[in-house]
Amino acid sequence: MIDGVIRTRVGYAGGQQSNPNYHHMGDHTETVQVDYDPRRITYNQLLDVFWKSHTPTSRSGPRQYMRAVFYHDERQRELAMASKVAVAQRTGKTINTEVVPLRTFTMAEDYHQKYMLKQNYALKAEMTSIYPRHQDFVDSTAVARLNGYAGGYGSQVQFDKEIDRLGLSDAGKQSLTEMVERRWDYSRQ
Amino acid sequence: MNLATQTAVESATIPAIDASIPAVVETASFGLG
Repeated sequence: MIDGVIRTRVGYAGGQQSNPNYHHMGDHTETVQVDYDPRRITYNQLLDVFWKSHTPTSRSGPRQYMRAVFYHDERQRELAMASKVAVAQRTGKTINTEVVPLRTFTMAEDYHQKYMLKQNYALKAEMTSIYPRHQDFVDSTAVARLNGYAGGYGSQVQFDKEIDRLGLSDAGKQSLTEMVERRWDYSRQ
Repeated sequence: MNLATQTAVESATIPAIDASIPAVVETASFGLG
């Protein structure tokens, strides 16, 4: 999990078909959108994470699963293109990951948002009691962090720093602690 | 519930990490494959 990221959401971007949805995505691509605090993390740092998170030299799949930087403005386009050139020079290979304009972004259906957290009914219930409106739930940094921990991400240092800031009850904290400690125990084996 | 009471309740329930969300954020978008 990345310090400085405020929230994330998933949706469909890059295409021209109107009103895309999961079953009728048209020419759009499944996309993650990241809101971040520019005082704590830069766009270039996010680009670094992106390039390290996949193999940009491998062949691209169907458009639904295209690997791409969707730039929002000219500044992002320039930085993304420069980072792509740097990766090409470092690898000495053709980079198949695209740098393309965002055009539009359509939120994916509610059941796709914060998917991993929603598999943990107790933690999900705690957060929906705080944020009964789904858009507020999706916009919450606490929910984003919990989704990350539920998905197997996050370090012990991050966890220790923010466990008391996530709005959980004592039972919720206990449940989350047991979840991440099981994972850390497993990864130490 | 008057506004002062309502505000007190809301500020007591909102997670601290959400109470400190900055007013200005930037957005980036990625297709992850």
